[in-house]
Amino acid sequence: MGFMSIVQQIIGGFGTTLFIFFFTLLFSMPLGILFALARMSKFKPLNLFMQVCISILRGTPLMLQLIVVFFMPYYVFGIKLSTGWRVYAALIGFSINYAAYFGEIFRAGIQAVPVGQHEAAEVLGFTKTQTFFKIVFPQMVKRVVPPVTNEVITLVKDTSMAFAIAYAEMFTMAKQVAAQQSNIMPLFVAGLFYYIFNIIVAWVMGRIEKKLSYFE
Amino acid sequence: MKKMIALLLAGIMCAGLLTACGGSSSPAATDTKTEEAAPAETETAGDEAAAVDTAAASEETAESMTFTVGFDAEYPPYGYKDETTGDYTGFDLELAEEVCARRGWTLVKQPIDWDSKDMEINSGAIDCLWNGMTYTGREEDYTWTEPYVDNSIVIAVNADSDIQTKADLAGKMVVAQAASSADTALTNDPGDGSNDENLNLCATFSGYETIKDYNDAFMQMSAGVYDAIAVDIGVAQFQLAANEGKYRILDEPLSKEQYAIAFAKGNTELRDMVQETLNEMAADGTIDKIVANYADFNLPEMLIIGK
Amino acid sequence: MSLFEINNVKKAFGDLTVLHDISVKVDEGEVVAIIGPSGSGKSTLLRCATMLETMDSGELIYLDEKAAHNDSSGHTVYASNTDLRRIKGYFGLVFQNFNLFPHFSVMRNLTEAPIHVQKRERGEVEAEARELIRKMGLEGKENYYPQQLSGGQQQRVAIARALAMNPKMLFFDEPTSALDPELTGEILKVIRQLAQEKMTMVIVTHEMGFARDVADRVIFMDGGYIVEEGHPENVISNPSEERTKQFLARFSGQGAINE
Repeated sequence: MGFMSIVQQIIGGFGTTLFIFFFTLLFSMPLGILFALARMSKFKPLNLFMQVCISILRGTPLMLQLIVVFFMPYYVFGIKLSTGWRVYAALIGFSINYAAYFGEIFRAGIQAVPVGQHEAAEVLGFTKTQTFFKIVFPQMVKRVVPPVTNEVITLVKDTSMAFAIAYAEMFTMAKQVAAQQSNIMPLFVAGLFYYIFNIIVAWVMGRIEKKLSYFE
Repeated sequence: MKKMIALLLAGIMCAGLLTACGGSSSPAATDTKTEEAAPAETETAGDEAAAVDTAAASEETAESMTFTVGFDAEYPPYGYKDETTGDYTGFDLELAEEVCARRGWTLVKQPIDWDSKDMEINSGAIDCLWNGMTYTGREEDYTWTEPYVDNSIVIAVNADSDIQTKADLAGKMVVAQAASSADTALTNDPGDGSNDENLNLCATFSGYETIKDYNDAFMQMSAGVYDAIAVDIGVAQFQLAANEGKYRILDEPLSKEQYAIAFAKGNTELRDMVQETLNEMAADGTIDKIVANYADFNLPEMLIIGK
Repeated sequence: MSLFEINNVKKAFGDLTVLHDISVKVDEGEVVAIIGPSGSGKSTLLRCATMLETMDSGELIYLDEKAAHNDSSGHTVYASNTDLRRIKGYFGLVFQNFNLFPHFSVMRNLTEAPIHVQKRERGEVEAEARELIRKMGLEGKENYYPQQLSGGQQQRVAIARALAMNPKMLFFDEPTSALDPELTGEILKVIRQLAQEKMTMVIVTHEMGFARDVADRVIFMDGGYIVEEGHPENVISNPSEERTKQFLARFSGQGAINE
């Protein structure tokens, strides 16, 4: 059983890890914007509701949230589950959890845009929606790149929690290969995969940061 | 703006619910099929010849039925990842494959987080737990097939360890897999004194810990973290074979145990179908053929179905 | 006919009343300078006029169109958002801190609102913007970003941005206060040029010499009241009120009156 064969088996799980990673980012970022807007809403009930949601999502383990999302249809609504539901539950669980973190980062980013920007836009006659998308959003994006990079790197590693609801990703595969060979090597190989992937993520985010450095 | 946000949020929630319903529609369909088959069998009960016909008919209607086996993929030789193909295999999964082939079912091999097995089976996410699952002591928790493997729980130690008998375990660090039968054997107090021998033994250890999987336990024992491992004999034999001369097993077992296949409590219908096919496989020698692949693990000696 | 009118405006922040029943009228082509110590309410008056701040009571009229009027109980009621958006097109505002959009080039700072708010044709807007950039002495800076420009250049972009909307009048909120002294001259020059072109302007400023030279009328505010108002020669060079004299005395020592 050579090194290459270990790598090959782990690559099988890497696809699943990438799948969770990309779709979680795809869903959680827009959702995070909505969370941030709801969190800043002047409509008190919505604001309060969002505050409670974010508090729970950030204050309880992601693993528990995944289990709740996966089993809720059965334990709350009595709907029998299928194995196909796992992937949806994983994506919903990850996306909502990460949206809570992104939401708070985005909120800080939005609030850091100086009030003068809003006033300049208001005097020029921009609507609130135009002001948000044309003026506030691009400046917010620049401000949130470093903290978002942190979260994205954490997400790469958090994907391994998908196995809480039996969605087998790379780390689970690595553990299975380790068990099959009673050898610790596959775990290190998996670690190497995570590390290389995160170097790529950090590089990409660094490029984005550089691209946005044309303004302050 | 406020309205827009509210609308978007509502939209996302609706989408979430729709996906939820969509995702769970397939097991509902599976359920319907099983229910359809059930009254047919009751009607013809008492007439054996007719029952066979209906069984054949119900097999036809259940042609596309999936049979989802929940297992721990880090539990060789019962369920694990094959070295060369990378597929999930093992003694139990090979048996399940044969059962499904004979029944015309589509087998889904679902590795699960063993700690969540009860939620998995109760919610219908899996149809059965088939993975060297200990029947002894859990008789009332699930609907079981008849036991098919007899498995002892033994103590494994490093080959050069000074531990020879259970008495030598006094003052030593012992480990077992969390939520495993070895763990149950050492810590479960039924309150009637039936397990006092093992409980008293456990009290003599300097420490007793549980760990996520046995592979870790063996790696950590060779690293000196633990002195002994309480483990099912099949797993112990596998580790001994994979690491020649590194470990040995104490002569005295901790307890004798039997394995069976667990279904959600009350799901006797599916259990009966699997049992019937297993009996056929035992009668025509198929199980003996399959178990021969696992001679390294003493499995043929442990097999009790059809004996 | 007056171009701009704010009548009987009252404004309080909590218990602190910052504007006591103030009225100002500005005719077309007129340049009005508002002076006064900090905390006198002059900035708040400007913010009420440009609707960045809401009035508690009072009327706001541009070109005979009521942006705000008093209801029967004397509280300000604003016109509909659609009306306000149109009325906001009548004036421009230049901020103390420029408030340029940092992520837009100079060109886009000028063109974004005319294209997306006024829905004007891009080619025409860009041609006008280029002309304004030239007029402000910023040729060749079209594709620069604000952070690449000096403070004086940024403020000239801000003036150009306000002018790009083709407003009937401009408000300036201490346009040189955030600038190094050697850079204020270039801004004052631009405003002077606009005055010569008969641009209607209301300027809150600390530059007394400039106010005297360029303004048709000077308003001195203190404590939320208009203390003195009139021709600059009268108010600045020869004030009649004691408070005005005290205020101006502080400046004369620094030679700020003589620009």
